[in-house]
Amino acid sequence: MSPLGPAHLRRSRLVDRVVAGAITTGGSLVLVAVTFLMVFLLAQCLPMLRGGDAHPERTVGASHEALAAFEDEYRERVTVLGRDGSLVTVDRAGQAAVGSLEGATPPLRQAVVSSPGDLLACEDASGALKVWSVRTAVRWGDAGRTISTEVTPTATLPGAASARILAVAGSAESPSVLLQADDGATLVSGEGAPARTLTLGAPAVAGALSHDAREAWLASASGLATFAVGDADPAAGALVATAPLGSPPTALALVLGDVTCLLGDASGMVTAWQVVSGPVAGSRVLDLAGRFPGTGPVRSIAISQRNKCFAVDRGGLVQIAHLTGRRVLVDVGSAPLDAVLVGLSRRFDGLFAVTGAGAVHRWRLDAPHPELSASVLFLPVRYEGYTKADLVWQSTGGSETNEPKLSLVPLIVGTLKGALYALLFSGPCALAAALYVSQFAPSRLRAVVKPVVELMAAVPSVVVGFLAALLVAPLVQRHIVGTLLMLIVLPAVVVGAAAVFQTLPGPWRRGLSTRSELLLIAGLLAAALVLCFTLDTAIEGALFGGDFKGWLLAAAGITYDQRNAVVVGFALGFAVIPIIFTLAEDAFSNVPPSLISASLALGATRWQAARTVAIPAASPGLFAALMNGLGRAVGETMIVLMATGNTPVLSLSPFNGMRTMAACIAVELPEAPHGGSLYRVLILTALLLFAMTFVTNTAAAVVASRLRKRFGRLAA
Amino acid sequence: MSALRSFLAEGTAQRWLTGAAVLLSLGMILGLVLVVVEVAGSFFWPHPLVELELEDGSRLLGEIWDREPDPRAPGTQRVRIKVGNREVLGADFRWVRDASVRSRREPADAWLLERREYGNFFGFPERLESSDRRSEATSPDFAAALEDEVRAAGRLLDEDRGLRRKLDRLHAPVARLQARVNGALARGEQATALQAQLAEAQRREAEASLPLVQRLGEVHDLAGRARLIMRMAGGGEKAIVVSNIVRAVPPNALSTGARLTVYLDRWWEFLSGEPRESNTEGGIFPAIFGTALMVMLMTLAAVPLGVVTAVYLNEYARDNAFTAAVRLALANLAGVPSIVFGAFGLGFFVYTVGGGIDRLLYSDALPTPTFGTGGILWAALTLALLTLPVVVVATEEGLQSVPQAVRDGARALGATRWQTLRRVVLPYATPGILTGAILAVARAAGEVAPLMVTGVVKLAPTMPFDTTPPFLHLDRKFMHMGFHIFDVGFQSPNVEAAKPMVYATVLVLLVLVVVLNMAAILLRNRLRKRLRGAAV
Repeated sequence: MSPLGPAHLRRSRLVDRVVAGAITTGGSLVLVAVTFLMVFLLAQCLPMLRGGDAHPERTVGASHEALAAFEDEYRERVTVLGRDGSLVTVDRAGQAAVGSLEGATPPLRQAVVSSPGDLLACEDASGALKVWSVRTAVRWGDAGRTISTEVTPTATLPGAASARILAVAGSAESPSVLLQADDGATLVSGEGAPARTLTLGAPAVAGALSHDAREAWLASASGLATFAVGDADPAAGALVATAPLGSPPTALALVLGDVTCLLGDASGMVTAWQVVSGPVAGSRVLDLAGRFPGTGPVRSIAISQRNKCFAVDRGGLVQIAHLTGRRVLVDVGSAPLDAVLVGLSRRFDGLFAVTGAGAVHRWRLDAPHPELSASVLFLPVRYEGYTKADLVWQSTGGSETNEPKLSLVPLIVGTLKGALYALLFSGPCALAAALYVSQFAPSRLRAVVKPVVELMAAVPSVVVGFLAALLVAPLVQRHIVGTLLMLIVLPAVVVGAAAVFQTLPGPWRRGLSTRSELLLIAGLLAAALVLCFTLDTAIEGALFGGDFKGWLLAAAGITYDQRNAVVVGFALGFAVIPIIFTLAEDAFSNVPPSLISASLALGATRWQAARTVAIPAASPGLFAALMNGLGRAVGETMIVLMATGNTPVLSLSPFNGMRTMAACIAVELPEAPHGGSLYRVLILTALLLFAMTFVTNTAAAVVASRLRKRFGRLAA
Repeated sequence: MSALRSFLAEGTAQRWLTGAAVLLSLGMILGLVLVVVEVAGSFFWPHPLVELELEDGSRLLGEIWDREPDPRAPGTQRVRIKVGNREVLGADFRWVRDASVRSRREPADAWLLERREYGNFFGFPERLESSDRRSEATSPDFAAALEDEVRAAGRLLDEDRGLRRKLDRLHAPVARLQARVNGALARGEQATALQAQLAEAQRREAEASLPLVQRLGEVHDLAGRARLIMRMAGGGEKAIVVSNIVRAVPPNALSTGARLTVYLDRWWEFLSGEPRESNTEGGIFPAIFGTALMVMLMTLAAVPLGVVTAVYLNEYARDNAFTAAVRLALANLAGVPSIVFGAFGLGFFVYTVGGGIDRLLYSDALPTPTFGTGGILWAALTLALLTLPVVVVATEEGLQSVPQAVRDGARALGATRWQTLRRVVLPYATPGILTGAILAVARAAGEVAPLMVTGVVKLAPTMPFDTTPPFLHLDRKFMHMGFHIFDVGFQSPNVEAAKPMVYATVLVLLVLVVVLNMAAILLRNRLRKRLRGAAV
């Protein structure tokens, strides 16, 4: 077949069209990729701003008068304790299995469940106070796993008959029960220890115990008090702090971690109380840390065992709220009016309410990120153990009950601080260098400098960061005065030398070639450097008593970190200089030479031509260069990761370190569980970084294209 | 006043200041290179072993590393001496005040033993004991005998490694079954049939590996027989198993030529060897290999896409809003911080794509992820996204250098657009494409941040490419030179001792990046010359 035959031509045309389509598709892929990147990141972090939902599930019934209920960890079954001593286990479908509470004489007078749901305290018909442990047992058999709730008696406690049980806590081996008394409450423990009296002056209406039963909170009709149950006095608990109450309390509960006490009252308000240091040294006072208003008296408060969430039952309306975020996640409006017990599932994935008649209402709870909200991320938050709202990044608490603190503000401030110090150093340096190379230097120098600067840009940032942290940082620490001196002495020496040079006779001045001029400047710089570092110790001794860091701390209260913003500014500056230089040099070179020549022809000196013509004409390009440099400084990861010390402190001091957004992502993202709160916050951080650099880059690109159009006309 | 004005107008000061800025920038890069070359270059040189006798009569033997003003006694100096013998002395380094040194000498009979475990040992050899001979250090053939034994031990270690590799291969089917069983149990499923298979596989493995395990025991026994008895400077003897010795040299007794041999040998070990002592000793070969393989995979993805994009922008696209949007996207892609790509790579490639692959193809190993965790493929794809703009910009420059007349000529002869592109334009633009590829490789070789979240590890037990089918393991984690620098320099337990090693890695990385960039710059300059020629 001839290559020019019609069939062949047809095939060629077809191939041509197919290829054109493929290339167009491939070319647009970049746009698709960038858009997708943005959308994907957004989609990854959006779920965190959703509060949560409660989906009602089938209501099942036990048809016994109910006193208490437990749910197993997998939310398969609910066990309802009846007044007649029966234990009715109901599964999701409503299938019930009836058992009885071992060791109890029916009918039961009262029953209370501990807030983690692992202990049950009852007073039975004989008036005996007994404690049972409740746990979820998982067994593997031929038919797969079977899950059951086991309720086993653990202790019989000496108790005053018919005293109201306020709370139960402790371990299964040695539980403690808080009982109402005429002037407060009594704490009875299982290990043969005597009962401790907690004196309040009035009968306690509500009470709560910490997990280890070492702290007790009591509320009487008029006041709230917290007691430490130490070993010092075996007969009584020590009063730690009290606070008056305006409205009669109805429910008391400790949020996971046992730091914050929630108090519900008859007016519908839930208040959060914490013990803080008082005005007198060593004294402790109760501080009102938060309020959660609502309508209708609070009937009970259920505590989440996973996070700082709690559920408030106000009769018909259950609210699930997060303590630290100070916000209500879910309103469950379909709750029963007369629930005897409301509980949150152990894994914070469900809610159940048991009515007096034994009906069990259940909800599936979907609130994956209760601790996150826009205000938590960007505004001051009062965390447990803090006396005022603060901006803190501390993604991993020391213990399970210590909540993560995820404020992005320290990271954003750290990022901007690093970029600022970097630009303070690299901006003037790179712009000046670009001006020299494009306006004053012969083109031969340009041919040397440009590739070297390109190599500077190619130095991997991990190398720069390594040297900055392990070589420059110790040096700067040892010679901090000399380093600061350098900032003044270097320019001063050069300017001074130029002034001296100016007074020399004309032939001498004109005889200086560019090369020898540069050599002269290099000599001056070297001399100035040597000067700085030899005078360093002397000046430190004369001005700062030989110890600059000590002086800094005493005079200004500023601490000195070895890896600080000065070091980072220098190291980041190293990475940013080539970027600013290259773009600025391009901008200067794109100024039509005819403009400069005209200026020189009119009698301007080279400097005057540069100042009045080249710099104004190139200024949009210089702006673009600085913007690009800023974008790079904001997003640079390895240098700041290595040279900042990575402490997320909110300080603008040049002698402190910081943690930037990029470094934070690099350090914490590999450890963050997929889909968890930290993961989503870090992805949001990445998105913010993307947005920041998008703005700087787009600004730079728009300015550069304007510039191109303007000078395109001029050059033509 | 007028003097000041004329001074400012003349602009000498301003010119000198700007000149100083140029020199400062050049000085910084020069300083960086010099420091790295100095530290890394001298690290492998066999330094003299110095024996110090202190005031209190105690003796130290080691290498002098540092000298600095004593912070506790102004005006005096102190030295840092690497005393080694970590298992006896605890710390590698000791600070000694100059004033406390009574005498100092460089004993010719001091030996340095580089060991596989516990770092260096400095001491004086007493005798060599093995099953069949005993050689006193004073005997003339001691050095030769020691070298013989070290070499023999090296052979045994090679055999040991070979045996282990065989055992690993025998274990592979068991491991696969075990993963499936674990996965099934973790998902709450029945695994009786699988467990039976597993038991059978384990039985077969035990049967096949028995002779190998026996031989392994013999090898261990043999390797443990030869021992070198060393006397330490501070007194006391220490027996060192010869198979633990990598290299034994008496640095003070060596001629310059012999020193050079040791120097080169150490460099070779560094470049081709496996790391020891959690990366602070030995070589960085796995890191070099991991970097190279990752970069190759990255090139496979980035270059075709980059070239297609450049061709689209330069040859096919019209000058409209869409093209402007593509250009803006490209500019942003170039400016987006690399860690953002890392976050995207983790979220999209690893969790979404990798997780999807796992659910489809490797579901029986779940919840243990196969592709749903960081790996070399995902790292390479992430970096491909990052380096795409580099390829596009360079390729565009290459395409622009093709004279329009050449294109018109081809079209006039009846070639279609594709034929023109394939036969004329692309061959002409090859240097540009090549420049782009080289620059992309240079950029990727030095990039660390996105890798930290997409699959780099400090120590990979297996290489992503080996002799087990399917040879190329795209799901494996890998080591990388840049991450090696970060990890050893910042997260190793013994940063001081490891620092020179890191400098050496820095030098290797720097040489690689500089050479690649120089090549790209040269290529591009040729291209630009041609571009100017074409314009005329």
